[in-house]
Amino acid sequence: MRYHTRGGTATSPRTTRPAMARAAALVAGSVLLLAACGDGDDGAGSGSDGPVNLVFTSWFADQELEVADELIAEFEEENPHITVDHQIIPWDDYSTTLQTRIAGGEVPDVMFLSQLWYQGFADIGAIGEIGSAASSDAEFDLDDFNPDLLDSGYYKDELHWIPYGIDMQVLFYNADMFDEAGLDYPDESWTWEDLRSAADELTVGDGDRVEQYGLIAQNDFGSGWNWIWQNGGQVLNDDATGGAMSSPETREALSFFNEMINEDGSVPGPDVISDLGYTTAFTGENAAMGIYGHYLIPTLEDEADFEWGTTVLPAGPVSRDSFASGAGYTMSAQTEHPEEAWALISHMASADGMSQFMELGSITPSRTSLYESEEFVSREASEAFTAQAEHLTPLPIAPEWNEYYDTIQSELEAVYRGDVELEEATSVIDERIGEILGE
Amino acid sequence: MSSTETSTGDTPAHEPSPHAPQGAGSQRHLVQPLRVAADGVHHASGAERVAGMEPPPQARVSHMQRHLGWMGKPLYYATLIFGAAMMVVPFLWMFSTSLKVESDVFQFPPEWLPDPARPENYPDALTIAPFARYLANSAFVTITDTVFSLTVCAMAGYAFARFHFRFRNTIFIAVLATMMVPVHVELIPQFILMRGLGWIDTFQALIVPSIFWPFGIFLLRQFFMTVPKELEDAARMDGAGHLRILFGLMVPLSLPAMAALGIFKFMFTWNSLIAPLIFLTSREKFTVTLGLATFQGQYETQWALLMAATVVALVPIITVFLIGQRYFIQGVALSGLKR
Repeated sequence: MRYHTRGGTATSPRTTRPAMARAAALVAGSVLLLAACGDGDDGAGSGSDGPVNLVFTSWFADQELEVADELIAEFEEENPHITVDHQIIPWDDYSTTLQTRIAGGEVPDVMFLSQLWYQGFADIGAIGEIGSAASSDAEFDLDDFNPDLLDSGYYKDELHWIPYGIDMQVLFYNADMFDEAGLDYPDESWTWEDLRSAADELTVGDGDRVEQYGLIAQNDFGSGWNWIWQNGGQVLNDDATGGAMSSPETREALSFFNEMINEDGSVPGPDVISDLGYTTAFTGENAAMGIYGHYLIPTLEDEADFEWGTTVLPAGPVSRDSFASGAGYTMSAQTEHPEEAWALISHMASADGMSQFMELGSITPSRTSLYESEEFVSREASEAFTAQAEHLTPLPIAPEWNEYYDTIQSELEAVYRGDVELEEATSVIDERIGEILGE
Repeated sequence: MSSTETSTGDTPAHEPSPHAPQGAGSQRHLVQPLRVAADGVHHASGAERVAGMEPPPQARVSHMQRHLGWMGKPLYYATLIFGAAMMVVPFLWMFSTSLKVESDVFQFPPEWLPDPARPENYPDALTIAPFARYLANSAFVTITDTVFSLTVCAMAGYAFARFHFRFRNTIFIAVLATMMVPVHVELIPQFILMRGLGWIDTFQALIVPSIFWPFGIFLLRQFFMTVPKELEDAARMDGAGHLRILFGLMVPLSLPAMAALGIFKFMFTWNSLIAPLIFLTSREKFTVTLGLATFQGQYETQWALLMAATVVALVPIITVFLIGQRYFIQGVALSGLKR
């Protein structure tokens, strides 16, 4: 990605991944069709209490993995006829590995999938709708989920994806650096202008060599896109048939971000960020503010030897929305044991199950009852996330996400490098998105 | 096609050694020296290269020295030192990172000596996941694969070098052609095959498909073809059969090539990630590479721990390389040069 040239010809090794994923998805689609034709009649036995084995894939690691395994053990105890084979696939290769296995005819019963991919899996018929199971499960209480995020679990008007946690961002600040500069800490009264002037003042350095940046934000769907919704703009048009990146609202939003990088110099450009590391830029005290998710809190608690705080994102002209994304549970469209598979999802995503993940401290749970609970808010830094959960815009997803996201990334990267004008890049992006979604 | 076939059988391919200066007088083709395999086919069809026109590597070095006069030696060493540094610096950086505190990993300006040093990264990295288990799994897969693969390659290479049978060269070219098929294309069919065999989540799914190794077959065939026929005839006079000739004569004579192949194979299998990713589903069967991959999280990667685990995972490869080093270099340099 780093060395992408404009126009993105397939020279970087990174580009092979989506290409490979595409090929796998194509094959997966056709194999599933065949499987659907042939396998019709061995699904008998479902519903009875005979022994059932469920395959569940996830990329859980470390403490999350321990919690997940405990929850699964609990589930197996409550349902003695069910065993769960919890298979781990590392995050980096998760989607492509799963697609290859699906193409080879092996569809796990329950899959942990990112919001960004699940529509692609639904599109090839690998995962099915779970809305009916969810709404007929009295204890599950679908209404408890954050409405904005749950909305993006609908594909073709049917619920396919149950969110595990909310990925969103708030503003983190280094209180020591604010004290040193004699500035007030950021709070919910902040607007874009406050952010920009504070970032400018907090940038310390002589000449080309910047020692301390005002703000860390980068070219991605998080800290690089939040500006768009905050200015009333969009990435895709309303019916997701083309791009809206060259609309005046979106251009204005991106140009605000670009000016902080290329005019004020208070936000580092892509090269500096890849040298500093996106999170380590803040934890390593190279920046006074940063836009991050909840995952950074445990790290800061463990490592930071400076005072820090969090607050909601500064308000733009239209809103103070953060993107909303996350991982979630999906169910195979071909599973022979839909009831048992749902029972597993219901157990993992129940208020009780989710609170055990929440206790680890790295996620914002997706259930309102949890992220508004005393327990969650008892941690001071988490409060900003409870407040931010009122201001969310789900990411503009479609089955072709990988393709248009790559285009947007590489074009905008050239802009932030200072190689291309924003107007030109956004026009190119819209043209490409039109081609991708119009296919 | 048929003319290519005959020449493949009769003309031993002559490769320039990797140090051959490009465009030296006698060289009529510009070839990529490291693409040994692809060249083999190419030369076979061309068959124009005249044997013995190129000076051996030592002669070339002194030739260069003579040319550059007293500057030759320092220049020669400077180049070598530069090359060596390019190879070694990343390793040293990895080692240095493996001893750092996580928040110092991306420190700027970079620090070579970790301060404070954190040797606990090693025990931490090795206990965060069942690493000993992963190492044992990798060792089993790699050693089994290497042993079987070398045996099969030696047998196939011998057959292609010494037996005369119908379609020999067609088959040989077909074997070479399989090298052109990218791994990613083979993955899904291979998965379907393994699923049919009931081999998903087994070690044989990693080992069996990789035993057949066209590069190994090719290299050993080239080597065996350079072994004088007379030696073989003598062995036959003493009553040796083909197996005896192969394992008692050809293989010992080809030790450099065998060692080079062994090291290659060991590295490939030890480092392979794609096959374990696709085929292994239960955690207790994970290989080291899979274990390392789990260090890279969705949001954060614990670089210091990852580097510590990587250093440990590299020890076997470095050990194998150090042991086989001398043969390895000979093997790569001589494959195809020897008469």
